[in-house]
Amino acid sequence: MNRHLSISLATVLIFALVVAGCYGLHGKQTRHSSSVVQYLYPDKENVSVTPSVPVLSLPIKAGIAFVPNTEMSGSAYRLSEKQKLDIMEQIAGEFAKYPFVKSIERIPTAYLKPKGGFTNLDQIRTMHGVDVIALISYDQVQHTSEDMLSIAYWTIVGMYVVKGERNDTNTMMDTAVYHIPSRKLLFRAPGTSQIKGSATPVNLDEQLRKDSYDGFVKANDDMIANLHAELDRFKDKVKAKPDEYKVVSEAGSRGGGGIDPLTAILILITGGAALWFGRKRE
Amino acid sequence: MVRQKKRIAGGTPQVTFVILALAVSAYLFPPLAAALVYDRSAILGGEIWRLITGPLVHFSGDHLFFNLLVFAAAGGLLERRHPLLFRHLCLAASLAGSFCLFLLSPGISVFGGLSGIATMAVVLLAVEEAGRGTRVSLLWLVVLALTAGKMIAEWILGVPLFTGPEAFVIVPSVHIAGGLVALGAYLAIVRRTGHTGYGTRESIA
Repeated sequence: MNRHLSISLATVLIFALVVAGCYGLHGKQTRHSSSVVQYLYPDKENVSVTPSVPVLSLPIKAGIAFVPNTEMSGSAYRLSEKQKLDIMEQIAGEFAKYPFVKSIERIPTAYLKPKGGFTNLDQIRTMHGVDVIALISYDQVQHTSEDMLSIAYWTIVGMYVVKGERNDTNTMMDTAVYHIPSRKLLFRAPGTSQIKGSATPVNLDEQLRKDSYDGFVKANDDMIANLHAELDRFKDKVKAKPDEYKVVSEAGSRGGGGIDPLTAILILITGGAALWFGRKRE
Repeated sequence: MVRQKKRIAGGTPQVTFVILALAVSAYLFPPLAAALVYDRSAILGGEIWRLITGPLVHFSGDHLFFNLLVFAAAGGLLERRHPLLFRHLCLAASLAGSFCLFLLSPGISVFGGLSGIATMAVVLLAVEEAGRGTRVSLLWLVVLALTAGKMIAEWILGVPLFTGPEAFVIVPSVHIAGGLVALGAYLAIVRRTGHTGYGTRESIA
């Protein structure tokens, strides 16, 4: 009898530990995310959108927008429209200073239909007069477990696997820049951040809300730096592959008298050599 | 007189330095650039100085750097040879480029860049040196071929060579105008001096 009781107690104990362990491993988390793929290709059966050769009309009129939410679990804090506009303003400010950018239009989320696809982008193009659009998606996870067993978690934020601790906020943002008429992805860049949890049970809600926005701001800073680097790579790619990207001028735009680096260097080297040989001979 | 001309010819290229300083200042101080840039509507409104000052304005660091690099080298050399003529040639190249734009490219509302004047300096220098008929002249013919080839290719293709997305549209007619000013000046020099190459006889100022 005692033996049976011992076995039963041991079984209950193991079951309890397994349940607690699972809880600890998976943790209690809230998630807040949006996906460019789900927005642009909502129909899983038909994703065969064939991009054509983009014709980039300089200077470029671009738009920037947040992709609509696709997942919201737990009591995740939603970015307000003002916060989204502030983030877009920061990105637009960084890229509007490029000389080949004519303007960057901030497009409120209300203009983007969930799962709107390229049809929705065509509407935005008509309404806002933009040929290129930067679509911002994000994935934010906040661990809010009170379980002392769950000291550390491994979780997936966007495409990244990160270690999260209690009350941490992990954020991944991603900007994909599309040429709307050609359906071509020009370039993309991610940004990540991790805010260490400092909340106590007393101020948990307030602190998590603050951490949520701070996480977006930090990830945005990281993403902007990556976007600059990706833009430089894209410019090199356009130069290297003129068949894949056409660049044309827009009537009424700026004209410039420019000597390109290669011609300038060839002229200077040849002219310099001619002068040197000429003086040597004299 | 000859000694005086030789001394002038070997002097500091003051006009080149002034143009370089103005171009850098216009790049660093946007209000100055706004006052100098070729702006079609402002010119039509009476601000005709922009026809001359437009080339002093540049739209990006690369645009400024490579234009100034070529202009400093070719302009500096040319001014040391023809100090008085050089300032007139700069003025002529600037006006020729602006008038070309005004008449042939009404779609261009704003223009900037020293490349028209730099092209003038490169072409005149190369033609003069090539005209000497020495072995080194071949190298100057290569310089001429590079410059002319680029201008013609951009004219025919309608797109800039060797550059990606820029702040502006490259306007080949401005370079061609600069080249034509140089050829005109060269013919005038030959007619006046009777010799085809610089250094074969005393140059005109």
